[in-house]
Amino acid sequence: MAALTVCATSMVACSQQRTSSSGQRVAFRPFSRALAAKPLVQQQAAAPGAARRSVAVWAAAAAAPAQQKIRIKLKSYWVDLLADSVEKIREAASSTGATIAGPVPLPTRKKIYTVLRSPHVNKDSREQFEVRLHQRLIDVKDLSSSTIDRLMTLDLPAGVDVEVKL
Amino acid sequence: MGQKVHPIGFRLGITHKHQSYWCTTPQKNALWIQDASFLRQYLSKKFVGAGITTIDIERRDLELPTLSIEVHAARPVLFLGRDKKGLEILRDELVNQLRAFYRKRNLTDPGRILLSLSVKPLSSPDAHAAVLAEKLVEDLEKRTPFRRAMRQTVQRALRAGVKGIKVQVSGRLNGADIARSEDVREGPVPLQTLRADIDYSSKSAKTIYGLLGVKIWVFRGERLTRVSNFSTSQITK
Repeated sequence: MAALTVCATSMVACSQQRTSSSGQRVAFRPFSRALAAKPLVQQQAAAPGAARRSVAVWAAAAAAPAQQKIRIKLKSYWVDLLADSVEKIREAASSTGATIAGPVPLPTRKKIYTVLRSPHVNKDSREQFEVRLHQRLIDVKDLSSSTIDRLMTLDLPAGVDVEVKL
Repeated sequence: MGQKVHPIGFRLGITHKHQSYWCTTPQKNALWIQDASFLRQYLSKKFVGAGITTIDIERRDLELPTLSIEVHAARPVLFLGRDKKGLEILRDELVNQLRAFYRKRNLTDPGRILLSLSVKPLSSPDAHAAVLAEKLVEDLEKRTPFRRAMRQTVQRALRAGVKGIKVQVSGRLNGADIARSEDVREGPVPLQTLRADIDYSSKSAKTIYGLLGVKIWVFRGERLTRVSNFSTSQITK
């Protein structure tokens, strides 16, 4: 039986997006938000604080290519998503001539929550839940503008948190 | 009586996918959990008869709140209406509700909210515990004899092709003074097997004598490969 999907997407391309999107492409992606603010940032003297996506950093990287390297930290609760994201980044970099210092698996952070099982008394009987945060570190060297373009239009799956640093 | 772990929680990452799907900083995480819980409650309360089984919410950490909601329902016609516009109307309504929820918590208004809503009809609705439980709750509230209602539920599930089912009803059955718990089982329901695809739902029926708790376990066969959220992302399309 064919599964019918009724889909209504309300994503509208934001004017900030550097590459023009056609049709119903998603406006925002992890890297592009940082990169797209490039023209604005170059006019500001100093970007206040260090934004999570390091907007000023991307501007500097784009301004002085080929010498800088960028450090990408990927965080996720799901390991297969991380593997997929790493593959995408690696492919984007290698196809545009940048080199990658391979994905370094940083230690997994485990957060353990211990709760009482019973609604009243019975302090000795508890239940434990844990949340595991997996991390990967990737260095992209020998940047070129095409690399940055590719990384900007990269579509990482939703459950991955990306942090970019120069 | 031993206390049993929640079969779905036990199998997250193995035979069940996570329903809320994102990764951010802990502060944002807390807010997003509130948002997701609010949206789920709103949808399931508003469209009780439509047989909503799961609501997958996916979210990205971008400047504007970007959500993607996928609703799996047995009878989507009930909340979409016959025309094509039903989905758009529902989506706008959800955006407004979310904005009001932000205001209620005294947070800054998020501005434009990008919400992508999609509704998937279930291929065999009677193979899902949530749909069966809702129907059983309806029957009990209509005061049908509980044993007959339970057996009908089991029949319905078997006709839809499940391998095993267990239905449990607890409370003041038939208005008795002393509450008890009765269950009907058919076929295997291996709760200890992690790779068994077991769907579980627990609902309560409000009767004049009080609440009747309904729990349904549906065994749909063993799943030999692990399930993952990978490559089913809505926003990337």
